[in-house]
Amino acid sequence: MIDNKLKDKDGFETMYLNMGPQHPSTHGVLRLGLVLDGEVIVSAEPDIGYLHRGMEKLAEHRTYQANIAMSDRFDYVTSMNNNFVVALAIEKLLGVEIPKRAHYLRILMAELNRVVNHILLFGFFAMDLGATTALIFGFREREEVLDLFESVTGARLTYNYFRVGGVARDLPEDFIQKTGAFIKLMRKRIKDYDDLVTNNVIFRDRSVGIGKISKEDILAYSLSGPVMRASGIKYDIRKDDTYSVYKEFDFNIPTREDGDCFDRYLLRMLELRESLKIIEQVLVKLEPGEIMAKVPKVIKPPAGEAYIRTESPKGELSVYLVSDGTVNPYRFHLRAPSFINLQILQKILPGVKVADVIAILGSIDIVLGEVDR
Amino acid sequence: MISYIIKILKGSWSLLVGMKVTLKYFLFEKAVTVRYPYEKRKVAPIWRGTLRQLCDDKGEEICDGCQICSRVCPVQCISMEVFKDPADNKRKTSSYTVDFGRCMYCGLCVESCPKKCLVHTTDYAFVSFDREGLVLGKDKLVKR
Amino acid sequence: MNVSYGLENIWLWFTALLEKLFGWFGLPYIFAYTIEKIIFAAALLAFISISVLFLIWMERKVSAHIQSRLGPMHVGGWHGWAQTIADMVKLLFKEDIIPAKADKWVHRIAPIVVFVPSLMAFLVIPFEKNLIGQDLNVGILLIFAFSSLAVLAIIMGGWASNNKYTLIGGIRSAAQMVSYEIPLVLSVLSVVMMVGSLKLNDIVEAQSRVWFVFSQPLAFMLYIIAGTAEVNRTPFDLPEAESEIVSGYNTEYSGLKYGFFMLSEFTNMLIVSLVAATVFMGGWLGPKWLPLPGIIWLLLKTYLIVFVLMWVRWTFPRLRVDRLMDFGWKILIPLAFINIFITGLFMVIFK
Ligand code: SF4
Ligand code: SF4
Repeated sequence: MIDNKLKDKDGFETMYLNMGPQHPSTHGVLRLGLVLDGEVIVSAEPDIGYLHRGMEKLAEHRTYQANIAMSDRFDYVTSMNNNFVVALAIEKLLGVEIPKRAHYLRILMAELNRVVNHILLFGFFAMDLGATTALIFGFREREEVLDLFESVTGARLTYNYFRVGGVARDLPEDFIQKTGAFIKLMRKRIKDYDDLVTNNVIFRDRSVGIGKISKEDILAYSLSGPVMRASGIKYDIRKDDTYSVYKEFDFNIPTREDGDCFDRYLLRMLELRESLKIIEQVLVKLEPGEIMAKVPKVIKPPAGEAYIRTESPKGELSVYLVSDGTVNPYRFHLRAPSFINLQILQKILPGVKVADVIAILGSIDIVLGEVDR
Repeated sequence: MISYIIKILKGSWSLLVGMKVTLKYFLFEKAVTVRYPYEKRKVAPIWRGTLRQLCDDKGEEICDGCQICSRVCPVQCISMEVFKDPADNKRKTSSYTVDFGRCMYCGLCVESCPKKCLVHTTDYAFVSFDREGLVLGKDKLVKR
Repeated sequence: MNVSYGLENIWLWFTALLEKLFGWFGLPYIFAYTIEKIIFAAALLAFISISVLFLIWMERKVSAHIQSRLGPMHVGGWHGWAQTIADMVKLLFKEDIIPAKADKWVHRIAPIVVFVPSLMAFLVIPFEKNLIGQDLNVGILLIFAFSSLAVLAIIMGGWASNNKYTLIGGIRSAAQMVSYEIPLVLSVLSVVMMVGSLKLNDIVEAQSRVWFVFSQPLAFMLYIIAGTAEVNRTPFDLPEAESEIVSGYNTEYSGLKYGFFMLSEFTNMLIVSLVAATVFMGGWLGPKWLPLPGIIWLLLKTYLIVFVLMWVRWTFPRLRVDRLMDFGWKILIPLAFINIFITGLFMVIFK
């Protein structure tokens, strides 16, 4: 709890503003305790836990396959990436090799989901700054990808597509052609996005130079993902500590130098283009084949532990999994990027205006499902 | 002074470009939304909707109460009672309920059913006034 | 000008009839005059409420089509035209909540205070030459005087609700309105200088050759920008910035009182557009080869500006509060002064 009696720099009384958990733009149920001096933040304290479901504990009472189904709910925007990391961890414990086509399908889905996440960020971030139309545009394009996901997995939000040893279903026949059409459409729409939002002078005014995070802070707070790359640290687990078959693909890791809201936003728009590039390459490389490795019906990994790091759209998403040889994991721990990226708020919020709080929060890109788990 | 004016002009130009985009959508782009109750969008054939139990050609239930589906379910929402039918000496279920209030439509049960008798339907609108209404028993679940 | 068509002839004929009728009965002129004005006010109220309902519907439709949606389609049949009426009825029946710790009377009065001034401004707008509430010789000044009263109500509402979000909204609104009133008035000032009268009818008639939007383009731009700020629309909608301070000054209002705030917002938008059409786009004047009633011309121009305002609203993000002040004081006001200076220079040189 923040001291309510905090004085501002001139020694006057301050105002305590409770932002959230019910607030239009705290991205769910985050509560921010803000001490205000006029419109300027004196101190800020994020308060989390309103969406806590005890997922890590629940995982200890679920079978391994059920845990992949549960992982859809961590970060409900990027379910595929969550599936990915859990599946990889279990496979590492089991020591199975999965077929080539399954690898490609996984990367295809993960990258499509990265596209979804970044489109949504575009919408939400613009919405946080007041541009409503951009939000709807973002959702409109997301819908296209959701249609693709639906035709493969049968669900639109919680896909549960990954299985231990492969993926659940093969692609329907028109999927590749539809995805190609989507990529074409997306490239056209990105131009509109740039005209509507990125180059807009008001948007730049609101985001350039706001909420700067220095390189030292990034390292000290162990921030990851786009937030880190926007501050000039070129590190992407897909390239630097590669997993699955990412090393077969040719893509760049965009970085920006300033680490302000605008850079964080722009970095995602650049990453979006890179993801489209990866998807295109996957579509070319796909060849028919097995999609499931041979795994036992009842998954009982030998006792041991596994730690897997992946690059989710939000940052470094890792799973620490301990098995004691039974059907349920002994311990399941998730390193959630949103949760760790959120910590920086306390450091960078003091001194900015109320309106910037929303912009900074939006640019860090959190999902409360992952923060609270 | 000059840079100040150039800044203003550049800013105004970017605003105009943005307005061009919205005007384009206002004038030329068709609505992408669906007027829901009047027109319904077609879901994919593999849509993971509510569960149903299939019957064979003679109208007999295929399910033999092997309990695999209830064991694989992450949220334990399938429950059944099994008995051995003395007539033909087969295992059968006397009751089979799915609590759709808890079901997360993950599809694991359908995948694991050895008899392939548990299937997803394609309906996506399933509502009830109370929680009991979401618990479906054999009378509703079994599709004859 | 000899105009032989239009609504004003009906009105003039009607008032003459009324005056004659009262003359027969030997009643003094003041009675006839009062009744005329009451009828006019009633007609004006009807016009305003219908326009506002239409404006809300239009706002929804414009935003929907910009965003690849359809907007309301169900209520009333054709493109959901009755949706706003249904919404108003809903607002009427909603529970009226006053927060426990609110300043009850101020909280109650604020919606009225916000609505009355926006109505008053209609008094001096000439819909046609003689179709005007009262052709005051300070016409344009009166409009600005009344529209600046609205800020009082917003502060009242924001303060009385006893909520920190409404308070921030109210304070923001005060700062914004005070600083944007200046460029608003200054931009019209250059037009007034050219006309030499504050009477709106004089301003309209001065445009019979060329509209002021062509001879005073900068003033027009400044007016539209400052006017957008005056009616709290994006990109200047800080007092009710949804993503920052929930709903700003009207967060705690519900039911009919909220309805009043919403009505006044749209009425203000209508006034800003009406004044823009009157002062800069020739008001009820239309081209001679197309003899339509003047009121039709006025409304056409007004709705063109309304559309631009909506279009802007659904395109841009919102400014931040300090940048808003910067923009007002460092860009708009200097430009307005430059404009006045240039206008004065031209007037001195060419006279
Ligand atoms: S769909 Fe998933 S949650 Fe629902 S009954 Fe089947 S296994 Fe359980
Ligand atoms: S898995 Fe299939 S056969 Fe076994 S109990 Fe469930 S529905 Fe019946």
